[in-house]
Amino acid sequence: MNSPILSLRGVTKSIDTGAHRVDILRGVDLEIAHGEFVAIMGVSGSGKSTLLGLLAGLDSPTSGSIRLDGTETSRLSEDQLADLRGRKIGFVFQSYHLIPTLTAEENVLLPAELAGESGAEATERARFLLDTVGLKDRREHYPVQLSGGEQQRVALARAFMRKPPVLLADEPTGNLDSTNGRQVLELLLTLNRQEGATLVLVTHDRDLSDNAGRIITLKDGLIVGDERKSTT
Amino acid sequence: MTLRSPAWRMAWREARAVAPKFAFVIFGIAAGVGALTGVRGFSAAFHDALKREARTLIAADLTVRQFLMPTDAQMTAVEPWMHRGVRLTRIMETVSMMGTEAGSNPILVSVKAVDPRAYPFYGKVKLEPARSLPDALTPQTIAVSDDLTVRLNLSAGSTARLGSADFTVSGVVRFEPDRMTGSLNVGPRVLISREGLDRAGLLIAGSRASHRLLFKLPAQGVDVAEMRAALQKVFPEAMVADYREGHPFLNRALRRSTTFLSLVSLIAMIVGALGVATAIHSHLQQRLDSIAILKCLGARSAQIIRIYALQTILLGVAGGTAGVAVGAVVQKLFPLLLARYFQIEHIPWNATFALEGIAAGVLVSLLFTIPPLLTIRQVKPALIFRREMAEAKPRWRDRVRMHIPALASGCLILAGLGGIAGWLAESPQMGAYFIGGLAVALLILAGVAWLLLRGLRLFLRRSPIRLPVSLRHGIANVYRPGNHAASVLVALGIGVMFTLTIYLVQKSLLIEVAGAAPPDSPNVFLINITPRDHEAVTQFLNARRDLRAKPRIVPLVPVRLLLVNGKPVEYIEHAGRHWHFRYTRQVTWSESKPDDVELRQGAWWTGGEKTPSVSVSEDTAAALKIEPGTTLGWLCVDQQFDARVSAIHRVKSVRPGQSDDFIFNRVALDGFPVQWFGAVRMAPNRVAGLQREAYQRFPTVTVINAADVLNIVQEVVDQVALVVRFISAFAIIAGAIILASTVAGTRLRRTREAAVLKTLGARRRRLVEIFSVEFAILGAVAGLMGGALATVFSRLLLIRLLDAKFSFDVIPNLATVLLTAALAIITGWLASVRILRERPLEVLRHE
Repeated sequence: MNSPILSLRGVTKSIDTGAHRVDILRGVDLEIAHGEFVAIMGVSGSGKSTLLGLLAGLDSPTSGSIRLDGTETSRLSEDQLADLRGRKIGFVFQSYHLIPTLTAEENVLLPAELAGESGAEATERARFLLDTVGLKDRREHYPVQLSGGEQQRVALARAFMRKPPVLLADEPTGNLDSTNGRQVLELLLTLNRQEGATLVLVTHDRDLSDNAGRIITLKDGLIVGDERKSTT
Repeated sequence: MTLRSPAWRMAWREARAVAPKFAFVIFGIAAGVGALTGVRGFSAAFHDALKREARTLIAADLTVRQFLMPTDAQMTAVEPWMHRGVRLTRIMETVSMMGTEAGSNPILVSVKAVDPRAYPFYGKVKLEPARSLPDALTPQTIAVSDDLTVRLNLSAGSTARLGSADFTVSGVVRFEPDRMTGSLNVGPRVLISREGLDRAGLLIAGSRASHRLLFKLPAQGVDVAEMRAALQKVFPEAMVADYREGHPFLNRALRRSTTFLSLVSLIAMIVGALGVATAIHSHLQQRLDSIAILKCLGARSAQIIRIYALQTILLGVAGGTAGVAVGAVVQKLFPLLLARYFQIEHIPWNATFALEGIAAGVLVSLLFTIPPLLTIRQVKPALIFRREMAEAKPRWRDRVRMHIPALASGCLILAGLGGIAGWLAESPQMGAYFIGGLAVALLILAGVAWLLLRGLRLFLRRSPIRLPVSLRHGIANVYRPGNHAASVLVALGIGVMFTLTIYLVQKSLLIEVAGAAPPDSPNVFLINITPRDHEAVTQFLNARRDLRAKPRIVPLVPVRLLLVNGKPVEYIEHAGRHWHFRYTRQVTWSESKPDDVELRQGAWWTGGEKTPSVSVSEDTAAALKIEPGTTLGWLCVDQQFDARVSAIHRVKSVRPGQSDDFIFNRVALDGFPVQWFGAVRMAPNRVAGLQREAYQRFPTVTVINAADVLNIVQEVVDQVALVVRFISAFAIIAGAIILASTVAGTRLRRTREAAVLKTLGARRRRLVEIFSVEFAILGAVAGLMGGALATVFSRLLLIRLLDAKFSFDVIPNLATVLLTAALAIITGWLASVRILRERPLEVLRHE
C-alpha cells in the first residue's frame, strides 16, 4: 500500500440533541492511500456523511486524530482548515449546492477565485472542465436554468478546478434519474483518472460502489467491513 | 476589492435577487437619514440666512438691547460716534391694550415704536397696501398685523385706540426685517412712530419695555469691533450684537435645536439600522447552505463576511440615497412648521449633508450588522450534512469565550454611535451622554421585551382557562422562528417612548404653568400703572365687588445691586446661577412687614424710619454672604445710594411680577421713578369685563389675563413640540417598517401555515383573527413598554432637569397602547395581505 493521504486514529464524534447525547462515530481507524477509489457504504444513520465531513476537515472530531496529506487537521483553526480544503479537497454533493447567483462558469471558477487565482489561466481551466463535462454552451447559464444532471456536472467541474489530490463525493447520483446518474458517474470516473485524485464516495448505490477499489461498510458508527478489490 | 471580484459579484447579484425583501429596511434607513439630512439642511439654510442677511435681521450694523430706558449719561457717551458718521435710531417695544370705539374687548398687543424716517437701516418693512414707512406711520397712524385686523375687525382707514389716543390704521404689516430679533412679541403687532407713542402716553420712566439702539456705521473709518466693545462698557446690562456674528441668542438657540433634532434623527436611524440587522440576520439564516458551501470550497470566514458586509453597505447606500430624497422634502416642510416665527424662503439642497447622511446611514447599518455578520464565523461547513442537530453543549467557559466577539461588537456599536452622536452634536461629551442614555434605554427595552415575551409564553402554557383558538395561535405566532419579536418590540418601543415622552413633558409643563399658582393667587395683573393713575386705579379696584381677594397694589422701582459692603458684586464668589444679581431688577418697598413675609434674622423697620434699609431673602443672603448690618450699594437711573440690611426674610407665597429678593423701606427708594403693579383674583368669566372697564378709564394701564399668557406659552410650547414630534415620528415610522420587514421576512412560513390551516378547514376569517392577534400583541406590548418607559423618562426629565412636577395620566398611556396595536395590525397586514389570497394546493405543491 502507498503512503496514506488520509488517516484516522480512534476518531469519535458525538452530538447533543438537547435532550440526550448521540454518538455518531464510536472509534474509527482508517487509512486511505494516494490514488485509491474508496466507497463508503452503510444504512441511513450509520455515520457515513459524518465520516466524510471529518475526512474533509469540515468538522472536528470529538476525540481522535485525523491527518490529511500529513497534516493533523483536528488541531487546525477554522481559517487554516478552509485553506487546506481549498488546496487539497474537491467536493461533490448529492444536492449539487451550486451558488444560485453565479453562472455555471463563475461557479466552476469560484474555488480558484477564493484562493486568489482569477487570471486568464483559471478561466481557461474552468472552460476546459466545462467542455469536458459537456456544458460548453451552458457557461453563462445560472443554476436555476440548468437541469439536475447539468447542475451536478457543473459541480463535478467545480470539484476538479484546483486539481485537488482528494475528491470527496456524497451520494453524487442520489438526486438523479438512472440515465443522468450513469452519465455523472462516468464523468466522475473519467475526470478522476485524468486528474489522478484519490476518490472517496459515500453511497447507497451498489452499481456505484462496484466501480470502487475498496468498499468500507459502516454500522452504528463503527467500521464493520473493509473489502478491497484487486483492480479498480 | 474590484467590482469584478467574486465577493463584490456575489454581494451584488444576491442583493439584486432579494431586493424586494429588503425594500422595507431600505425605507427604514431612509426615514432616519431623511430626518437627519432634512434637519441639518434646514438648519444650515437658516444659519446661512442669519449670516447672509445678518444686517437685515438686526436692521442695522450694530444693536444694543436692554430692558431699561437708556439714561442721559449713556446717550451722551454715544454722541462722539455720531460725529464720526455713525447713524442711530431707537426702537421701543412694549405690550399694551388696544381697543376700538365699537366697544369690543381690548386685546393685548405688542407695540413697536420706530422712527420711520430712519428705521430700518437694512431690509424693508412690507406693508399692504404697499407704501413707504414714513407715509404709513405719522403721529396719527399705525400699521397692524393681519391677526389684529381680524380680532378687532379693523381695515385700512379704521380707528383704534392705543393708550390715551386714537389712531388711524394705515395698513397691514406683512414683513418686518428684524421681527426674529425683537423682544416682547407676545401679541399681535402694532407698528407706531415714536411721536405716536408719545401721543399714546405709554412710555414713562420705569415702564416695562425693551429698548433697542440701532447703529449704522459709515462705509469707512469706524471699526465695528472697537465700537461694540465701547458700547458694551456704556451699556453693561445690554445685549450688544453686530452683523458679523448674527444674533447671539438666535445662533445659540439654532445650534442647540439642531443638535437636539439631529440626535432625535439619529435615534430614528438607529431604529432603521436595527431593522437592517434583523433583515441581514434572517437573510443569513436563509443563506446558511451557501455559506457552508463556500467554506467547503475553501473560503475563509473573512471572505464570506466581506460578501455580506458589502450587501449591508449596498442596503445602507440605497436607504441613504432614498433618505436624501426624503430629507429634501423634510427641509421644505420645516419652514411651514415654523412659519409663524421665522421666514426662511430659500432652502438650498446641500450635497455635503446628503453625502454625510448616506455615510451615517451606511455606518450605522454596518455597526448594527456586526453581530449577525460575526455569526458567519460559527457556521460549520458540515452543516451541509447535518442541520437538524446541535453540537455537544460546550462548557460554560467556552460559552463565555464564544460570546466575547458579541460583547466586543456591542462595545464597538456603542462607541461608533457615540462617535456619530458626538460629531452631530459637535461635542464628545454630548456623544457620551447620548450613547449612555441610549445604551440604558436599549438595555431596559430589551430586558422588558424579554420579560414580557416570556410572561406571555408562560401565560399561554399555564393559563387555567382554555383560550380561544385564534388567541392561542396568535400568541404562539409571536414566538415563531425568525419572527424577531424582541427586535420589533425594541424598535417600535423606542419610537413610541420618544414620542410619548415629548407629549408627556409638554403636557406636564403646561399643567405646571397653569397650576403653578395656588388657587387663591392672582389671575389678573395690571402693569404700567403710573403714579398719576395709582390712586384712581386703587379706588377702582377696591370698589369692585367681583374680586375674590383684596387687590394687591405694589410700587416697583428698577434698581441694580453694585456693592456689598463696598465690594463690587461681580467679585463676590457665588454659585454661577446667581449671575442675575448683576442686572437691574424691579424691587418694591413696604413700610410694614407684609403678611406673607417671615422674618428669619434681624428686625423689620418701624414706620417713619429715616435710614434707608432693606430686607434680603434667605437664599440671596446666603449666596452673597449678606447678614443684618451689611451695607448694600445700589444704582437707580444714574444715581447711586446705600441701604443697610436690617433683616433676612423668607417669602411664604408666590408673588408674581416682582422680585422677592429685596424689600426696601420707603425712604430708601424715595424720589426714584416708580411704576405700580396690581394683582387681583376674580372669576375667569369676569376678567373681560374688568379689562373693558379698566381700558375705558385707564387706557395706558395694561391688564393681563393670566389665561391669555398661558395661551401664548402654550402656543410656543406647542410649536416646539410639533417640530420635535415631527422628527421623532420618523422613529415610529422606522419602527413600523421594521415590523413590516420582519412580517414580510416570515411570509413564506405564514403562507405555508395558512395553507395547512385552510386545508384543515380554517376559514379566511379565522386566519385574519390569528394574524391580527399576533400583530396586535406585538403593537400593544411595544406600546406598553414605550409608554412605561416614557412615563419614567418624562418623570426624570421633569423632576431632575426641568424642576417641574410630574403628574401621571393613564389616558395617554392607554391611548398609546391602542394606537400602537392599531398601527401594528395595519402595518402587519400591509406586509402580508397576499397570504390570504394564495390557494392551499398551489402552496403545498411547492413544498
